[in-house]
Amino acid sequence: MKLAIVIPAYNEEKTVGSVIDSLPKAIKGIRKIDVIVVNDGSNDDTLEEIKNYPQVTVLSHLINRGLGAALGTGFKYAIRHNADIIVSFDADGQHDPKDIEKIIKPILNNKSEAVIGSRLMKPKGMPWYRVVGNLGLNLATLVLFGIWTTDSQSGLRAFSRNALQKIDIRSDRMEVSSEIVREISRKKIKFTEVPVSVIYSDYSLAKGQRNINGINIILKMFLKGFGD
Amino acid sequence: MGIKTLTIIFILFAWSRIALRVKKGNARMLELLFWTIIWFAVGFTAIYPGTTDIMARILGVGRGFDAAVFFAILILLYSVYRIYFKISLLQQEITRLTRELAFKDAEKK
Repeated sequence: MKLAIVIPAYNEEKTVGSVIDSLPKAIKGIRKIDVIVVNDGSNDDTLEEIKNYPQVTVLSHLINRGLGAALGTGFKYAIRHNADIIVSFDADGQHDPKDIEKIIKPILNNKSEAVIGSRLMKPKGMPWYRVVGNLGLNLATLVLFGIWTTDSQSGLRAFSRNALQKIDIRSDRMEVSSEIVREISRKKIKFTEVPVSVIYSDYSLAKGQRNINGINIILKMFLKGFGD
Repeated sequence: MGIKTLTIIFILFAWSRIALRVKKGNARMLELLFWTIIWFAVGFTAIYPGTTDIMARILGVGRGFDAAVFFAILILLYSVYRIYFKISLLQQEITRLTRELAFKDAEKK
């Protein structure tokens, strides 16, 4: 089994290096781990920082296209290069690398085809306003796409190759997280949620989504829901 | 100069813009046809305002002018909708381009 870890990075020069360093080098049941970092047109030294790691595949967008576009690029590359399991992992250092093994387990055991690492099954360390904001987005996802998740906005996910090929990502921006959930529901992909921990630092809090952004995401989901 | 003359001048100006774009090959003939019908209708109602009263009666609104405003808003809404989807299509194409360039760059190494 070949695992690809896709890390979308936009202006993450401070954290992307330590995130790459922290990734597991070997996982039971996995023959090879490929790390794919997508530099999404960063204005800082993110690209230079990644280039210090020759073992990492660097995909660099010439201009910033947003989270959805960066994930799409990483996923497509992983599929083209024969990854069996694909994991998405945020570059801001909010995820615990040990959780990767946890979220790919249901796929390795053939129990699931898609796994979302939920930060809200045990929301320790998440500020209350984030919990409320995430809850609002989860409700919007339920109403618009008919699927309930405890953390529709999580950046830590795992897919089997087969599942990812079915998922059609059209959103370029932040609303991609809800779109992925919608695709899982529409294509009837077998999915589970696994509780993951979240490391909230001042840095990752400043980088994350603000609640006002959530309203924007809901609006775009709404337009997309009717758009196709 | 009354509102009639002003409207006609504006229509001629607006129509010439789209006609020029078609001539230069930047717009399709179908678009010209679409806008010709729209501007003709606007011009016609400006010259013969009485005709909108017939529309008003069919629609069930009070005055002819209200019917004209009703249609104007409808057309505006449709245009905004079209522009929204055109832009989102363009954005998808830009993303595809950016993506393929990133792949090419990675494969060179």
